Amino acid sequence: MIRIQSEAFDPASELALLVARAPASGAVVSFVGLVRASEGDVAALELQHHPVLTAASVEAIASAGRDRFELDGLTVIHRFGRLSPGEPIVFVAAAAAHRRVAFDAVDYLMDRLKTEAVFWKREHGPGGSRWVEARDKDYDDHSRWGNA
Amino acid sequence: MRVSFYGKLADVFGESERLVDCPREGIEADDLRRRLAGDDRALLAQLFDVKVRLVVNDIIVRGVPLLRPTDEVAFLPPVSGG
Repeated sequence: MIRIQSEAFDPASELALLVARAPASGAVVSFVGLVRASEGDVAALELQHHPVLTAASVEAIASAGRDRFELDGLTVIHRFGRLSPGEPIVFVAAAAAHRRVAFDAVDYLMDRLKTEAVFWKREHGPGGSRWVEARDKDYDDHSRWGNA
Repeated sequence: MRVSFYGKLADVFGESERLVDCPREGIEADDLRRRLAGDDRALLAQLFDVKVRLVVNDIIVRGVPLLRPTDEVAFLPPVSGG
């Protein structure tokens, strides 16, 4: 299940839904990305999206994940709009027969989402706002998986 | 021709969308970039940045296509998800 939405979501219920949909799986791994609160001066994170290309990019990444790993179930949820520190931005969960495949699938999907999902991030703070681009580290992480 | 700007490009242009006069025979993408930038060399450099992607009718295109008056064009700066 793939969703792009502005509404908040509850990671625990999304995880429970995936577990219920994949009763024969031996492993379910989930990742929740949150708006970082540690920097202190970020009052909000704005995620801009494209009406067509954002969903298409996330679908393509999820589809590549399904092709690459043998999964029994997959959930990808990505928010857009204005988010507050501590709020979930992204949720990726994969169900598989064994844990290694589920771990790797989620790791792979997150590395691709960080660098390829069509979103633009802007941090709003007391001193104004700034656009945030993917870091070199994000591209390094992505390159671990080869060209796929 | 409707031209949209996303992310930091919308800030640079001060608007997320602009209507541009386009000749009936069309305009090359690079000519559109020059027209949008006007005399602003920094803006011109941004529009020609290899990391900025050109989208025509919701499809990312490479090269220098000929754009038609009815095309919907968008410029996308580098993305950052997750």
